[in-house]
Amino acid sequence: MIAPERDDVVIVGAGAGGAAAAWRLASAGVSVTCLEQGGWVDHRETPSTRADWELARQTTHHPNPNTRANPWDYPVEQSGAAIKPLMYNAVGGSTLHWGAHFPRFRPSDFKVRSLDGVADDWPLSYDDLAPHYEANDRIMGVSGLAGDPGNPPRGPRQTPPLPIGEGARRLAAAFDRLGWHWWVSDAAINAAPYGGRGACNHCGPCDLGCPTGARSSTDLTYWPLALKAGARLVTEARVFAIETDPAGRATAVAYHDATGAPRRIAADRIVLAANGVGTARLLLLSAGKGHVEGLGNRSGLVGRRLMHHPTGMATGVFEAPVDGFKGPFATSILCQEFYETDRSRGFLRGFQMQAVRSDGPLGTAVGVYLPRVPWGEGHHARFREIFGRTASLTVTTEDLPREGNRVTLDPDLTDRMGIPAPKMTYALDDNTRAMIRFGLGKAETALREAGAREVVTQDLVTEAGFHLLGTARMGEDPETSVTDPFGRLHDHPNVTVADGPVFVTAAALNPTPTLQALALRAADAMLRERGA
Amino acid sequence: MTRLAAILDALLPGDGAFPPASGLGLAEAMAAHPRFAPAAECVAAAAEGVETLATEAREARLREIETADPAGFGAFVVAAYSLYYTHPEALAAVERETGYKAGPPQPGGYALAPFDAALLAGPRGRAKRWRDAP
Repeated sequence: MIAPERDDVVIVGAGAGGAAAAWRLASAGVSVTCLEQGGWVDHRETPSTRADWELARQTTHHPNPNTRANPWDYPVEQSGAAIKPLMYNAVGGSTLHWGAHFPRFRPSDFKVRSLDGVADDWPLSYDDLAPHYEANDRIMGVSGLAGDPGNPPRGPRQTPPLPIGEGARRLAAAFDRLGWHWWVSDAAINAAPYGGRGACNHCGPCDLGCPTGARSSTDLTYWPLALKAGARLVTEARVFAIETDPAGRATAVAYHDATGAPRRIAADRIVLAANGVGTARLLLLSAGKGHVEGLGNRSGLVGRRLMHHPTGMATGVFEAPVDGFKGPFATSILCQEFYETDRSRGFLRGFQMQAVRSDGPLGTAVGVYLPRVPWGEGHHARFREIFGRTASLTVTTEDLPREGNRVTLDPDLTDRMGIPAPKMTYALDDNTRAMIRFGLGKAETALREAGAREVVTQDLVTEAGFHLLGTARMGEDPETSVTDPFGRLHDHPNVTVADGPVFVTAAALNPTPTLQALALRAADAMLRERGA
Repeated sequence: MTRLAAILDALLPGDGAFPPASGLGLAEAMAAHPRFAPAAECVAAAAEGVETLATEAREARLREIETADPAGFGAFVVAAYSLYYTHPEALAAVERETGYKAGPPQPGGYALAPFDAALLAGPRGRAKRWRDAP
C-alpha cells in the first residue's frame, strides 16, 4: 500500500501494541496509517513444515536479529549487554516469534514502592487495566482456566487449557506435594478453534510460526479487524525520525519506503510501538531544535531503565521419556509460590517458575534447556540419555530499573539504510542474582520431587532479551518520567508511546497482555481527547 | 579423508544407529554452507596435520584448540551439530533409537491428552495468594 501524505494518526510498528492501538482507533472511526519496517509473513510457509526446521531456528529464523540478519531487521550493538536482544520485525512484530505465554501482572506489580520500598509505583493500578486486559483477551484468544487463587478474578478464558504433557503433569504433582502454588497457564494459543483461527495440534515450536493459526499473533488477530475497520498498513517502511514544528509539536514521520526512497507522512497524532529498543532509538534519532537530547527527553530517561526478565533455568532429566518435544514449548503450568516479596529470602520482589517443555534433536544437541551435548566419544550416549526425557522450570525474575541499563545510539554501527543502530548496555544487579540463585534452588527441589534423576541449572539464559521494557517510562512528573500515565510524551503530547517502553517496573511475568492493555487504554484516551 | 572430515568425525564419531559425520558427507556440506564455512575454515586452519594423528592424539589436539578459542570452536561445534541433526539419516537414527518422528512437526503435530481439570483440586482450594495494592 502507498502511504497517504497525511493522516489523523500515524502508528510506528505493527506488533503487539501498535496493532491493538490501530484496531481500537480505526474501530472508532479514526483515520489511521501504520508504518511497519517488515512485511507480511505467510504462516503456511513456516519452517516447521520443513525437514530443516531446526536449522532455520538456529539461522534464518533465530530470534536474535544480529544472528538472523533478515533484510527487515536492524542490527543491535550487544557486546555490552549481559542479556541479548530478541525481537522480530514484520507485521505482527515479535508476536510472530513468541511462545505466547500470556499471564497478567498482579496488583502488587504496579505499586512496588508503596508495598516494598523499591523502584517506583506506576501511575495506574491493576484495576485501571483490568477492563483492557479483558478486551485484549477477547481479541487475542486465551486458553486457560479462570479461578486461580494466585491472581485476581478474570472472565472465562476463550478456550480450555492446552494439554500440559507428562513433564508438567509430574511437576504439578510435585508442587502439590510441596504445598506450592501452581496453575495452568493462560496462553494466547487456541486449544479449540476461536476467532476464525484453528486449534493447536501440539507441534512444539510455536516461535517459528503456526500454520493452523492457533498461536495468536497480531497479524492474525488485530490486523484483519483493523484493516476491515479502515486502517492502512504500509509495510517495509523504515522510520528514521519524528519531525516537529518550532513549538515542539510533532508534525510528521519520516521514513524510507520499500525502494529506499525517503518519504514523510504528516499526522495530527503519532503513536510509537516499536518495542523498548526501537522506540527509544527513534526518540533519540529525533533530536532537534529545542530537544537536542532526543524527542521527549527532558528527563534524560529516554533509553534508560531498560528492563528484561533475567531468567535462570533448571532442567530435570527423567529416567523415562516425557516427550517434551510435544506441545507448545513455552506454555503448560506456572508456579507463583515465590512471587511476592519476602524479605527473609534475602532479596526484594520475586519470580515465577514457568514449566517449559523441551526440544527437537538439534535443539537438544546444541543446548537450549541443558548445556550443549559434549562432542567426542560420549556424544551419542549423552544425547540418548537426555533426548525427550527432560522438563524445565524457568526462574523468571523481576528486573528492578536502573538508569545504567540503557539503549543509546551506537556511534559506528548502522542499519542497511545508514540509520544509526541502537546499542544495548545491560548488567544484572545483586538483587536479581540473589533471586535467581534462590529460585534455582527451589526449581531443583521441585524437579527432584517430580522424579528427575539429574538436575542441571543455568544461572542466566543470555539469549533471553525478548521483553524489552522501561526505556520511556510513564509517570506524573515530567522531570522523572518520559510520558504521562496515558503514554503521551510530556513535552510533545501528540506523541503517544503504546508499548513496553512505558513500563515503570517489569514485574516477573511475560509482558504482552499488559503492554497491549496499555495500548488499548492509550487509544481510548486519544478517543476521549477527540470527543469520539 | 580430508582434514575437515577427520575433525568432524572426532566430534561426531557415530555410535549404534548414529552414523559418523563422514558417513553423511558433513565436511562437504559445511564447506559449501555460506553461514558455516567460515567457522570450518578457521578450525581447519588451526588444526593443521590433525588428520594424520591417531584418534586419541587427534582429540587431544582439538581440545587444545577449543581451550585456546572457545568461542570460535563453539561456533564450529554448533555448525557441525546443525548439519548433522538436520540430515535425514541422522534423524532416521534418532527415530530408530528413541521413537521420535523424524519428519517436520507440521502439519501432523502430535496427539496429547486433554488437560484434566481434576488436577487443580488442590490448588483451587488454597487461600488467596496475591497482595492487594493501594
